[in-house]
Amino acid sequence: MSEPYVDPYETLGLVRSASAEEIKRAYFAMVKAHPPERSPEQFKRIRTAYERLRDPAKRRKTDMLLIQPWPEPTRRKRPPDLALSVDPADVRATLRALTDLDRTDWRDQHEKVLL
Amino acid sequence: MGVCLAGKCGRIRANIVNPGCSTSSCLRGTRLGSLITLYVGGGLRAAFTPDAMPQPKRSGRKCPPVGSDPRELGLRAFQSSRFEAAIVAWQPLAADPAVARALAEAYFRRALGILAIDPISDLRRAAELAPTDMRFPFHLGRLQHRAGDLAAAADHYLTVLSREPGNVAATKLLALLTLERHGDVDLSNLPGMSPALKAWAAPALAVLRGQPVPADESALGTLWRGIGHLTARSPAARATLSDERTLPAPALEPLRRYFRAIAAAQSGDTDAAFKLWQRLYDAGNRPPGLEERLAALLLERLAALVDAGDVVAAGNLAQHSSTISGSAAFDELRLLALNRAASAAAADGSWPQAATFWDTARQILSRAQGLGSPRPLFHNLALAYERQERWEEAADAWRALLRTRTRKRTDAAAEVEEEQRWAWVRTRIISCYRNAGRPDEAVTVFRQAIKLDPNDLDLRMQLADALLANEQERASQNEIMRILEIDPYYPDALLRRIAQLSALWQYAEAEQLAHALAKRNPDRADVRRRVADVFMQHGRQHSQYRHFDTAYQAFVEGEQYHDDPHFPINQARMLRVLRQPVDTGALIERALTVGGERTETWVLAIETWMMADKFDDARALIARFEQERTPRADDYVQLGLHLMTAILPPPTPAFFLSSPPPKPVDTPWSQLALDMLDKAVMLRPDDLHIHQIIVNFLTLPRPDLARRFAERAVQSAPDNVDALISLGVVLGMNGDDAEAKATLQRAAKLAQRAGQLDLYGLAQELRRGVGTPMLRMIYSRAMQGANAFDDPDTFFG
Repeated sequence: MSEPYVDPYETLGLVRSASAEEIKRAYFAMVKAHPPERSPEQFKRIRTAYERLRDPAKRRKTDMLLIQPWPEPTRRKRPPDLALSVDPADVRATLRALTDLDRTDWRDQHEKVLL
Repeated sequence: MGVCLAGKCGRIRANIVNPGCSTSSCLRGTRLGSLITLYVGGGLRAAFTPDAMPQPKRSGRKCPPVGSDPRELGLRAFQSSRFEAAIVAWQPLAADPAVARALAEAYFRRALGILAIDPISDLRRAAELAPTDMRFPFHLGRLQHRAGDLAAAADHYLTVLSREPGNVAATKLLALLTLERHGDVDLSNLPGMSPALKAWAAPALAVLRGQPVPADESALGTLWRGIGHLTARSPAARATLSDERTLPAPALEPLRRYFRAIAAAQSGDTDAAFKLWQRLYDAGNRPPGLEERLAALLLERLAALVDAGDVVAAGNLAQHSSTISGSAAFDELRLLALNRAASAAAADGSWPQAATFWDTARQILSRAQGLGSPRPLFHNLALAYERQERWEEAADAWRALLRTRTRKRTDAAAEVEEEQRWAWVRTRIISCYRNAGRPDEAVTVFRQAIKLDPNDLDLRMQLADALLANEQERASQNEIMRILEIDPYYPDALLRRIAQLSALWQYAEAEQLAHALAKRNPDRADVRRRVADVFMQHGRQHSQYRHFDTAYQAFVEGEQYHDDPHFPINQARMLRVLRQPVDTGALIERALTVGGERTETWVLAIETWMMADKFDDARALIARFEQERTPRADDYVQLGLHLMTAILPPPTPAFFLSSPPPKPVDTPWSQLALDMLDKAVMLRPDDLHIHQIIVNFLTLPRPDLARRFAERAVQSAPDNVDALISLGVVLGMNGDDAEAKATLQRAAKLAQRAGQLDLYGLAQELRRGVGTPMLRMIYSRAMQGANAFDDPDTFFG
């Protein structure tokens, strides 16, 4: 249905904020490591990734079509302790179950209408 | 007493059946007579006696149709539980005490119905109508109690108990409410607090006070004892709460399971606690502390999965627990797990799954605070919907993203960058709504945005685009004019205006605006390039209509804004057509200086020499081209076919269809073009594709030249059906009918063997056309026209 999702920055081993110069350097380094004669498929992927990033306008479009990272916290929030004591609300909930507060069927209170 | 229930059989409402009334309700009135209050004209009520009854003015008056008496209408509605209709029917008669009581009952029943809209108002009205009926203040208190209005509820319970001191239900609720309002208090002084009710409340009070629960071996007593053990953190709690006897109220059963889970957790068995709480939550039984406790255990499990890198399991757990409200830490971890799982699903191409995860994350984030902006989630969600072609949802997600836009940036460069991103999002909204068949929605989006910021010209530009997409051309033009009213030199709008003027052939005005725009934006290369494009387009238009002098001017003016090699090339061609002195070499040199890195520029330059009939210059330029550019086979094909196009006779429909081609005349130029094609073939002798391009191009205009390329194609691929068909046609066009038929027959056989039925049919049809004018027609049709011959622009650079 649609093209597979590929992050060109990942392919070239770059961060999204990489400069144009860094992109170019990474590309040539990758091509050197994976020349087309030896690994044509890998080269094709590298080339495609580079093509998506080399032109600033194309790069902007590519960036907008990439999954945006969720800013993961450097330090997670402290979780609350598991409360294992009986809360007064628990006691009241038990007592409440013994009253008519949440009763729904009140037919016994219906009165006959005579006109 | 009896009465006509229809009520219109005369002015009399009698206590007997009206003898003149023949309706069935009138007859039924005799049965109900003793229970019905009489009613005259909606105002007079009396217990009529026969003496007091006025006599009918006209005897024998017919009774009107049944069902028009509001009482009867109301009664029927009431009896069929249509309390709304009963209230409407009885309301005008509320002054009648019996009707008032009936009306109060209708309000009461409607208030206690499942679909009650405003039960408290209904009960208040019922209490007004029947102030002595204590059911109404009781339920008013109960509903206000449930709604959290404890003070008002207490007042109502006290009202009930002041009239009915022995009302157990009200006393229990008042006791509960008192504990809710004031915590651990003495309940013995509450009205109606009998010894039995004190005993009823004693276990709860004991637990709240941390005292021993009164001895009671019943199922309920054991439950209270278990809760008491839990409060004391006694190890006996688990055993005590494992009692399975039936409790007096069904609502106590889930509570007992809930307490069992606390007991399990207290004894360190959090797995058992987790299972019990999870089951209770899934079943919809949610005691006050359940979500918080379940969330705490879920957080532990989720953290373990996240830390272990089990992205899928963590995502699924976060998804399953998405509706549970928990701590900020739980929300933070769920968002992290869901986003990771969504990203992994997207990377695998599972976009529906990714969309589900991101949407859940978005929902959690919308309930949480301080966990970051929803922007990445909206963005990713929109991408996921787009991948699934769920265009409307994608547009909505982009739209939601657009709403998160802030305008606080101060850095100018960052502002431009950010603005370009938002512009992209807006374009995306338009295209998604367009794909969803809803361009109107895009218009709405931009109109709303413009209302908030009327001077955002970029937004107005997007609106103009959306209007255009919605086929509202005039409205789009109006929007452009509005932009120009705000900023007469806003580049995008002015360029659009220039395009409009050009479309109306108002070239002078358009060019004047274009000059002004370029003058105002000397540093904006993009604007200058677009202005140059305007002049290029005008020049081409002029040249098509043989206004070569104005075309030349346009090409000269355009060149000052952008270094496009087409400008000097076209200037050279225009001057030659105008028979004016021209330094073609200098102009070509200028073109090569700015566009020499492109093969197209060389091809146009060589073609220009050919148009000037400067054969030696063309050859010299080709030699330079070969030296400087090291042409590939494709470049030679491009050059050869371009030259060939320029020397072949101009296209006419008849040329393709019926008339025979003009007699070919070989010139040094055609030989040169052929040399280029030969060089291409020499460089890639086995490339069937290149052979086919050349053969397809030459077959109709120069079958004699096409022959050798067609033969070479078949030599390199003897069993290729396409190549054989081409050769067959070329042979047929050259008059070698027998050989053509044999070749096409062979092509048909191979196509049939390979299951290529379309090619088989074509080869057979062509074979039958060999030796007749039909061969050209069939081939022309099969080629669907040779577009290269039809494009007048190929004659101009």
